[in-house]
Amino acid sequence: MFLKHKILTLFGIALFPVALSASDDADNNRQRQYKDILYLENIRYGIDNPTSVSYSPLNHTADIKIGYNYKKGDFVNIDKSPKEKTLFIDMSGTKKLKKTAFEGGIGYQNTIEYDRRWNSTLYIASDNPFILADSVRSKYNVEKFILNGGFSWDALSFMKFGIKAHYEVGSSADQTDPRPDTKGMRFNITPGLDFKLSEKLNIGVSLGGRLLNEEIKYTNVVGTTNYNFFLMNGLGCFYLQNGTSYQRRYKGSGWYGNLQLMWDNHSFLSNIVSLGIDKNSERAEDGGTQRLFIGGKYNRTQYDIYDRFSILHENSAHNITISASIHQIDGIWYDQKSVTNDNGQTYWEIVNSSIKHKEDRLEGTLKYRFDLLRHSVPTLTVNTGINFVQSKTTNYPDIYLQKYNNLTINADISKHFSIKKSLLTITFSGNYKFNLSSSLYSDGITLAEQYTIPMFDYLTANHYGIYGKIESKIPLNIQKLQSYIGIYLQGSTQQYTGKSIHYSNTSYNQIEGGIQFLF
Amino acid sequence: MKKILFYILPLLAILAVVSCSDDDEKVAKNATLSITLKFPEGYTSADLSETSVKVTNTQTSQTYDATKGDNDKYSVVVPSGEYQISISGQLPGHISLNGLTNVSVYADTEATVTLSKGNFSGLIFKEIYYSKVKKNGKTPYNDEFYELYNNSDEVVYLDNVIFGVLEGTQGILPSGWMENGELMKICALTSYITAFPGNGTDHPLQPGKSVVIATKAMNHKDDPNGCPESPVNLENADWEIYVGDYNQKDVDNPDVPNMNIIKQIGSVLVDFQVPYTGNAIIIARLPQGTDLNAFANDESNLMTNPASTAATKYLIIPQEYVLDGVDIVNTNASKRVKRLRPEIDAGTIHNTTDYCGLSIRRKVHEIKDGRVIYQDTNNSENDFLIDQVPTPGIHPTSVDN
Repeated sequence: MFLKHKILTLFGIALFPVALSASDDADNNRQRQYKDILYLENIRYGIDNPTSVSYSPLNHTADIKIGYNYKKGDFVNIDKSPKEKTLFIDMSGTKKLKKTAFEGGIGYQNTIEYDRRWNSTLYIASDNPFILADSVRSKYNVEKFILNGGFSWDALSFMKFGIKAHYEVGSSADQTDPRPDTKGMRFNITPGLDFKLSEKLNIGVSLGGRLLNEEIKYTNVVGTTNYNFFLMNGLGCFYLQNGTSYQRRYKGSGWYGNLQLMWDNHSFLSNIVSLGIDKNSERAEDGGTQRLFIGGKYNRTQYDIYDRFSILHENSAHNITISASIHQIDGIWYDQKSVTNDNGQTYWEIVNSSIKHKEDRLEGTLKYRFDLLRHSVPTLTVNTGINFVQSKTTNYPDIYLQKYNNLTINADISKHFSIKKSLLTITFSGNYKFNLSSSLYSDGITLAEQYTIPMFDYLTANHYGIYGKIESKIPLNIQKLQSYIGIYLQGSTQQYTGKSIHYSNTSYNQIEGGIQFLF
Repeated sequence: MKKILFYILPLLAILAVVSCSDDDEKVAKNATLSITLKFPEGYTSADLSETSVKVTNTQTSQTYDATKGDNDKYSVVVPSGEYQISISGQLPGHISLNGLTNVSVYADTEATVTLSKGNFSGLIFKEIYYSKVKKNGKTPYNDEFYELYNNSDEVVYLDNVIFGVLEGTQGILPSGWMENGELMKICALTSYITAFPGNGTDHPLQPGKSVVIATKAMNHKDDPNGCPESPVNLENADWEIYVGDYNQKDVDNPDVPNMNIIKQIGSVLVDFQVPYTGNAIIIARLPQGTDLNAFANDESNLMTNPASTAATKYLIIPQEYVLDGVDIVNTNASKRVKRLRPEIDAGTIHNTTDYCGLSIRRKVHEIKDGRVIYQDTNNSENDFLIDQVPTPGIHPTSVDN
């Protein structure tokens, strides 16, 4: 119920940019392909600086989407569900005024995840090894509510200031003993500046902070059966707790910063390079406030570099993007001793801390996008890309080790057909992931067969994917409001091509359909 | 100049990353824990048999077995952390030797554990049915029994033997009866503290014989006031704990003799019981001639919990008078509290699930001339079987492996 109240209360705020935009921007085609226009004509699009909305080539955008997604297949990681159904609603918009630009959005998702186990968390980082889990396959109901917004203001002739925030709350519950009830929240806020150094050169800087709070409570309705609760600490290693209930809280915080350098010759060339650093920390706390026990602390430091070079002619556009990131992850374990003080109060005292889990990951991506343009909108878009991931994970003190190098190549093509004032877009894409090398040392891990090896097999799986989408946008005859109603249908399949007994002849398929309202 | 920046900045970034990746890191390590056993006067390692040296991480409950090396030292490689070393062994003449100590292991560590002779008497707990059942799967139903057995080859007299439950619950707080980091050499009893009546020789128990003490001596399975889910018929129990003088809801079986209630402490419960979550229980014999009622009401034998501000006083039984004890703990691993010193019980024991209608039973060590000799190393973890179908008054006919 609380989610519905928030949706109603904040509906107006999210659509504020939309409300202001009713009669602007007469370009029909640009509006209905707004995502392509925002990307092609704003070198800052997608950068983590709130002032980028000031450079939007469109005075307003508004998009409401309602959709349904269905996924099924056994080619899925062991802590993910092999079958999911999701209903979602997304609303987003931007609006530019004279000196100010706004952006905002709200979203709601309701997902049923079938046969999920080995992970009861909701919002903690995907590479946090301190997961609370049980081994019973259950049906989870997951609800998420997302709210984001921001603005950018031309404070001075050479300086823009912006701020944006993202807030998300969610809950996850299953109805099979042991039943975890998970509630989480995450929030981040990012102020940023953009300075004009010269006619062609700008420099941007943004700094942000994030918070995370999540609580998991395991209970039993039956009441007398004791279950095993797995306090995971990386690569399938765990400490076991047994009982009818268990409780854990995650508290997280982090900060991040980005520096951008933009060059634009105001003719047909532009380039942006961005450097970023991100530090994140999440601490697991077990038990109640009476005897707090630290279940582990996750620390991540991430360095990012991103460069996009754009050539934009009247009839074509070329975009080359190079990005790389380095992730250094430490899972800290605290040795604690039960101590009773003179007042008779008992608590866990930290005696020692050490790194239990360590991951170093390098990711790199090279992409090329070509657009054939007519009247400044794409009629044909071709994307190709190559992605490289290198990961090394070590679990101490027994030095269990997991290493792999993966390469993924992908290509997609979209053809847009203008039929009178309507638009029909057909997209096809394909990808193939190769595992270049891998190794795993897991002798002695109790859950090696049930957890460590299947997860390793998934992370290093060779597979190919095919995706197709058809969508249409039909103009609505609403006076003084340029608007479109859209329908889309997309489907994809991923087929495993490796030799693992856990994934032999498996695939993962999804289909999604929805309607969209643009104005 | 501006174009140069495009080339320099990414390179600077890469250099910064590379230079940041070689920081010192303290990773979790294994360490060797070497354990030296310190024997009581007159004994050496050559006298010890069936030795068990276990090392348990007090935070994660992971347990490791130490192996014997040179010079009678035991050693084990463990991850760094806080540990409890638990040792039990047998000396000739069925005398158990036990030791318990805590140690911090963050590098290769040496520890010495002082062994003490266990309290040994012919009279032991043979079987304890404490888990109870739930009527209709919902309401807890008390059908407990406790069976005592004469494990020796001489007559043992039950007269004035005290049977009681130790103070405390199985939860997140440790025992408050601590001194200098160790459990005190006392047992603080609570609730209904019972004792066999008699003048000293009224109730002999022959070698190889047992007595069943029932909280309610009735046929729990078939009696209309019973519980169909109960696995036991106790209408022929040898003794009953009747608390009608304190709580009129209790029902007496007039055909079964009653234990004496020498003291009642704390909440007035409907019945005597060991909580379904478990707790330590003991049998004890005070010096000959001791008036139990006078002892139980003597203020000098009563004591408040040192770790609590509550005014409740508990009956203190010095450890030297304990004949046998079993440290029953919670099925929930995060709520297990050790209450007995290693001289009485070096381990802990519990069923797998709560309200399971199953008992814990002592293992049969050997059968000599038709007489069962149960295993008694003063370590319930080694000595008892869990999740057993209750067999009050029945003794196995084969040895347990």
